[in-house]
Parts: sequence; structure tokens; C-alpha cells
Amino acid sequence: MTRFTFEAIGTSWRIDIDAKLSSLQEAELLSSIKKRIDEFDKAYSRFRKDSLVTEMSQKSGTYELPDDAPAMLDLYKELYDLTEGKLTPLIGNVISDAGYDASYSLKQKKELETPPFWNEVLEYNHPKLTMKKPAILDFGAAGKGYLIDIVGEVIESKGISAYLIDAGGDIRHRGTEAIKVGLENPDDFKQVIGVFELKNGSICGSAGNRRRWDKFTHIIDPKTLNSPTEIVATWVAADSTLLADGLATALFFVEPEKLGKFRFEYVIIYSDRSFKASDSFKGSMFDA
Amino acid sequence: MNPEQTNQIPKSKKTGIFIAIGVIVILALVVFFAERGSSTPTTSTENPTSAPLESTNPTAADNNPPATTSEQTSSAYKDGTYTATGSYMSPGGPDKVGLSVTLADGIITDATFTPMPGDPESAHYQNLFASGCKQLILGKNIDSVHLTVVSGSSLTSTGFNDALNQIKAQAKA
Repeated sequence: MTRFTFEAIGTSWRIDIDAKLSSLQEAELLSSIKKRIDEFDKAYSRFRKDSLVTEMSQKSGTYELPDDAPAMLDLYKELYDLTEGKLTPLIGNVISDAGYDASYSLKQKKELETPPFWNEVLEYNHPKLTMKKPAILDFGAAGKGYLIDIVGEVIESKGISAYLIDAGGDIRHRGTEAIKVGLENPDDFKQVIGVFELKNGSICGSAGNRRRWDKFTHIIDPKTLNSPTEIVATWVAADSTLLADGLATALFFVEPEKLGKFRFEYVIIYSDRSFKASDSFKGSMFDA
Repeated sequence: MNPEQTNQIPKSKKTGIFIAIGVIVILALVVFFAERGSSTPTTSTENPTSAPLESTNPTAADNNPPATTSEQTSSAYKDGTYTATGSYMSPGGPDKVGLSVTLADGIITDATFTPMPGDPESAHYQNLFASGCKQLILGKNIDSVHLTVVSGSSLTSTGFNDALNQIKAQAKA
């Protein structure tokens, strides 16, 4: 078995591969994974001065997006519509002004302003994305999940079919043997509140408990300009990590029933510590 | 956990609504008597559930003594655990539900809903309601559960955490 552990895009990665690889194969694979991650980061990270997204935040115009863009942009547009604009990449300026900026100031810079509507700023016809005016795009809601899928593709391109990728608690699994994923207690990181059996799919969690500063978490409602407080954590399991990640954030804004066009399982932890779960997750939560 | 758990009351079935009404009435009764209890400062043995219930259906309350009582507080309600049984008429005949509520300083700190169904269909809806009534997360130590990985709030942003630690350190200085 091969295990890679490394830091990238500000989080720790762990990749387990069942197959036996030579040390040369290992080195080659790890290097292509890291190269691909860097490529993605260079396009979509608002934390990098040299990224495409940073350029877009500075001047309007038509930009050419990388080949991997459609899956992510299309999901963002769908979730934007389903959440009535609450899940939006245009939240970037708000989050940044609130203090979650490229220099991690964690200090609110100014009065927050309601972000513009999608159509006011964005016009997307792959590969062309026109920025009608400059704006900080934030792909924090689903970008990491998508990158995990992309790393999975890199691994699969080497003929590997059984593996596990864990990037800071967002997980993609491929293989015939289920893995046990503990669901971290939002109140106590030394505890889990359930164990989800994952096979050939992905699970992502979203919670405001770790990245929290002042009155904000990493999720800000563009209508209220506050972080949602009714929900403390969500988990979503789906076929792709992109979808699981995006929906885990969307659940902070809409009822799961509104997202019925997607195939997914979920659990939502409310601020009173009650929960609501779909069938697969119900069986995963610890019994009283 | 009960595999049938849900927080939603089935809207299309009258039974669920009847149960909900029953529970609301019981809860109101419990709070009412808890309040009344507070006007008698030194006794706490008074049975808080001895009045007939008024509801959209013929109802009657069974008498259940309070399970525990504790000392007076400044709250309008007397601390303690109060138990009540409510009756309601379901399409399948008369049915009962039990409710136990613990009050501390006027706040409901615990609530147990006891289904007492008269027929299997009522049993189904009562159980649905019971699970929706209270369903809280419970934790176990990570070490005690054999896990492959843990999923939680994303640890994205080492930079973020560094910054936060610095701010904490500054705040202490």
C-alpha cells in the first residue's frame, strides 16, 4: 500500500492507494498530483496573487477558462438558482471584506455590501467567461471537492482503481471495500457523532466551528451579510466530491427537498444539536 | 437509532396533526401547572397534571405524579420533571400519548415523548412524531470507534489557523 501525505491549498492531504507501486511510480504519481493541484490553484484561488481569479478581480474583460471549468461552473450556476442566489461565487468580495482575505487579516475591513447578481457580472460560455465588472470570485463552496475529484482522475489515469483521498475531511473513495468515515462532533473534535460507511463515492462536511473569526464563519449569506446560525454542520455523500462539497454548503441555505434533482445523502446538525438525516445517514448516527 | 426517524410530521395524514395538537395541549398544560406550582413556594409535590384537557377531540388527562422536583428558582416555573398523558381521537379510535418535560429555570431542558398507540397505524405516526420530538446528536470518543478517516469541518487553510492563533496570542498579551 502507498500513502502520500502533503500540504496543499492550505490543507493537509492524505492519499491511500491499495495497489503496490514501485518507488519510481510513487514519485511520478505524487509529482503529477502536485502539479495538477498547482494548476488548479493557479486558476481558481483568490489567495494567490498570480491566479486567474485574482486577475478577474482587478479588471473586467473576457477570460479563457481551463478545460476543467464546465463541471464546476455549471454546478455553481445550478446551486445559485436553487438557493435563490445565496450560494454564489460572487460572495468573494463579501468574505474578503469580512476579513477572510488573501493575507488572512481576519479583521473586517469595511461595511459589507450585498454582492451583485450573477447576470450583472458573469457571462459564461465555455471556455469564455466575461467579467462585466471586476469581482472576487470565491470557489470555496465546491472548489476543494472538485479538486479532489480531479486528483482522483490523475490517480485513475495510472490504472489505479482502489484508493482514498482525504483533503482536510473531504473524502473521495474508490474501490470495492467500504471505508468507515467518522463524523466529527462539531462541539468536540475528539468525538464522532456517527460512522458513515463510504464505498465508491464521496463525503464532504461543512461546519462553521473551526474557521470562525469575529461573528463570521466561512459561509456568509449574501442577503443578510451574516453567517447562518441555525445550522452548525452538514455532511453530504454523493457520487462526486464536487457535488458533495457544493451541496454541503447549499444545505446551509435551503431545505434538502429543494435540492431533490441531485442524488445525495445528507445529515444536518442544527444549533440546538438536533439533526435531520436522510436514510443512509440515519443508520450512521449513534444511538441514544 | 430508529431507522424511521424524521423530524417531519406527515402532513397528508390527519393522525399526525391530531398527535401534534395533543402534544401542544399537553405541553401547554405542563407549563401552566409548572407556573401554578411556583405560586406555592414551599411545596413541590403537587401533581401538575390533574385537569381535563380541552382539545378539538374529546380528551382526558391521566394523573401522573411528577417524577422529580427540585428547589425553587427565580423563574416563573418550578423546576422539575412533569409528566402528562394526552388523549386524542384518531381515525382508528381513541389514542393516547405521554409526555414528560423537565424544566430548569423556566427552560425545558429535557423532553420525552412516549407513544401509546392503540393500533399499528397510530404506532407508526406516533413513532414518527416521537423521533421528531427529540433527536439529538451524541458523541463517542474517536479512539473508541475504529475509523478509516474522519470528516468534519474542513481544516482548509493552514494560513487561516495560523492567523487565528496569532490573534489569540495577541489578545492574551
